[in-house]
Amino acid sequence: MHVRIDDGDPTPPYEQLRRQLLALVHAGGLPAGARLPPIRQLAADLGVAAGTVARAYRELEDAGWLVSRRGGGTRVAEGAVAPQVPPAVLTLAEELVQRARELGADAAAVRAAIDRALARPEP
Amino acid sequence: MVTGVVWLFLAFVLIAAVALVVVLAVFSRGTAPRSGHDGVRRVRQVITLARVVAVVLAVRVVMDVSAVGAHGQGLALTPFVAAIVWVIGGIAAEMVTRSALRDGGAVLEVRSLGRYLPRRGAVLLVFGIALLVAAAVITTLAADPDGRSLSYTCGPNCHGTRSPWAGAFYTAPLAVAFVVLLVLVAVNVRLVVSRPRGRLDAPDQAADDATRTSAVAATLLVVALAVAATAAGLVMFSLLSPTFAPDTPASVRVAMATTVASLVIAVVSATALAVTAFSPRQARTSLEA
Repeated sequence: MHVRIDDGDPTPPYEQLRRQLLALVHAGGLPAGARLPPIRQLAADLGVAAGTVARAYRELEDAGWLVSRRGGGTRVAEGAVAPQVPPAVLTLAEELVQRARELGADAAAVRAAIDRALARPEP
Repeated sequence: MVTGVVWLFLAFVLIAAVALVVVLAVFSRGTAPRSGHDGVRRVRQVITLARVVAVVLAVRVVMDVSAVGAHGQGLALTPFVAAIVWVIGGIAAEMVTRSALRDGGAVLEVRSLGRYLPRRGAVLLVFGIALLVAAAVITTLAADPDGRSLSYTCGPNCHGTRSPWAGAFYTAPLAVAFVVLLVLVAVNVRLVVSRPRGRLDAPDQAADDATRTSAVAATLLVVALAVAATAAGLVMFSLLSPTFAPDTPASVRVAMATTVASLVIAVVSATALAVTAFSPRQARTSLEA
């Protein structure tokens, strides 16, 4: 399991990290109780400021996906359960990603498109 | 005569150390994980080069320091000073290679000292250090006010002093050098463990882990060698003669036994650490650490 910061992506680095960690939790790559690297270590590995990693961790903590304990590091929350995705929706998403890649869109563009679609008021 | 014994002792230590290194190097060939990754190879090469340069510098510094002070004070410091030079070499190598494995990515793993510490050798080293400190405290308390001789009584109206004796004259500078060495070792080990690395393939990651384990072991190895050399010097130049005199107080014999125990444990620790440094085993996982 790994994460990556894309310098060419206009999305702020903390948000890139937050999304990738959340995606790993949703995909089951980071199970409940899994320990995450210390803030300083991950920041040094990624070549970003410690505050960037701290903000990503904090936002995930506030949302209930991570828990931090003094001396125990940061772990995936026990109650963090990946949302159930109906198979039909998953198939649609896979088709969307494949089609977007064929058109030359990168991951950030696909995420932005989905966010915009979700932001539209339901008819 | 005394100078001749000193140089004979140093020559013996040097030959023994070189022989140990050659034997371990020959038997450990090809056992460490290999990597084709440029960064991993560069880190290993820089660390090796820094160690070689540090050894050369340490020999030079030992020659200078051994002549410092009076009554062999500088000579007593040489093991710890040589170790300090070696550890500084390791720190320099870590600083130079700090960004060698960065690629904008990161593996979600916890790298802690427990993954890279050779536990058996480290525990033995702690025991060896504790015994040497205990022996130094005993000899310091038993010494005359001048801090470098030991008074004895050989009968009615018969008094004398034995010198050199490891009183505060010798042990105070040793304590300072030892504290400096421990601080530098802590810095070096911390730099080794926290050296950033990006997304490496499994074989490259194993090779990098081996380099880290080897670097930690090598740093502790030089401390073990310094403790062993200091204990050997204490036995040869200070404790050997009074221990076997009929009028010797019990504290001197206790100091002798403690120092010999420290020497033996430090040598065993150095051997275990040298094996790990030359032929590192697979690092522990985050869960095992």
